[in-house]
Amino acid sequence: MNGECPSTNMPPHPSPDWVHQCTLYLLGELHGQSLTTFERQVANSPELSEVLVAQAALIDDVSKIEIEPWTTPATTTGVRWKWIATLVSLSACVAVAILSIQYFGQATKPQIQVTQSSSQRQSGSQDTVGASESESLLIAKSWVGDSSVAASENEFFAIFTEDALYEVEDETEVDSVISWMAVAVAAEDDSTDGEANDG
Amino acid sequence: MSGFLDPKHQRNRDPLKQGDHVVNSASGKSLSPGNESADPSWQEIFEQALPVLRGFLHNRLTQESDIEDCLQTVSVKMLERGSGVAPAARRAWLFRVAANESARMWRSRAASEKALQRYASDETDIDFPENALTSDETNQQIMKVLTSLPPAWQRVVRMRIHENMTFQQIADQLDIPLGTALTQMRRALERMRQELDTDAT
Repeated sequence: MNGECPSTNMPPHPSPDWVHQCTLYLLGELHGQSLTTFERQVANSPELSEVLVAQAALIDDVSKIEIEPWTTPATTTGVRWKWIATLVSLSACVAVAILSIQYFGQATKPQIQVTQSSSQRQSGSQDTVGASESESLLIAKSWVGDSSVAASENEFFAIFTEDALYEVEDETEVDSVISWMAVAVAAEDDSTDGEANDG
Repeated sequence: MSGFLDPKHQRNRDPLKQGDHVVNSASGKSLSPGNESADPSWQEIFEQALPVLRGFLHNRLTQESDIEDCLQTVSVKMLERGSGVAPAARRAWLFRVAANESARMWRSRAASEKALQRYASDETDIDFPENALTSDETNQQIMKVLTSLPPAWQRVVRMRIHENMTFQQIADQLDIPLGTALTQMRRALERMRQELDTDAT
């Protein structure tokens, strides 16, 4: 027998890769080509042999301590968090859906009302024209808001031409409030022109 | 069955009889597969570890006969004392015993050879796994270091070594990537080694 007796101490600066390979090997999780390579390396490298036995001693020591098995509280916590995350996601989806329905419902309602009033006007008599004008006035008020109640009380808000109504339907997709105000201004111009022509 | 559990490979010692029903002649204790010590997984582990064990001992013992003797001793100790070893640590235990036996062999040879007396006297004490006097203190130290680790690392160490789950099973159960489980194990062992080395010095 030659040389010094080998110790079981880890070499001062072992390769982290070697340490990891030794750990995997000792735990039986090194397979295939990696295992073959490791077997060959151990036979040819005294330093790797020392890393191996030092890691073996550590794993053996750790296995000897008596501790309660990990009763997977983290797992149940993880499951609980999964449920919470799922519920939050579902709640968010439902909230978004409700808000969307409310928003689009409000956006389409005046258009429907305006369309109805337009058809009533096409049918004809002076009485129905007066009724549709008051409806249109209410719609315009609802769009312009309370701050412009005084302006909305002017009658020209209730006077719409067919062209203006179609224009309103197109532009409500961009900005309904501004479109409605533009329609109101156009209606006022038209009515002014009409009065001038009549006069 | 491994050659070291087979009589034709036994030379100086003869602790085992041929056949599936293995008997330790020294203790007369049955080591059949029904016995806990002769757990087939132990035999499989020994067979699987044999190439690396042999290569490992080649780096420590120069003579082939010494390597064979050492392997024989390891196989006998495995059958006699392996029942209390945690399944996940069985391969590690084999290498530790092989290291201790090779050192013991080296020391006994050195003691008989005058030219090597100096090395024998300088040799540090060898911590055998079955040495109960040091194990309590070591266990407390390791427990202290283990419990000081981040909880995620502790969890992987416990599940891998004490519950004998594979890294894949751990990753599946904790719903983490396999690489994360491996990294946590690697870091935990690195930290433990650093702490234990610091405590030792």
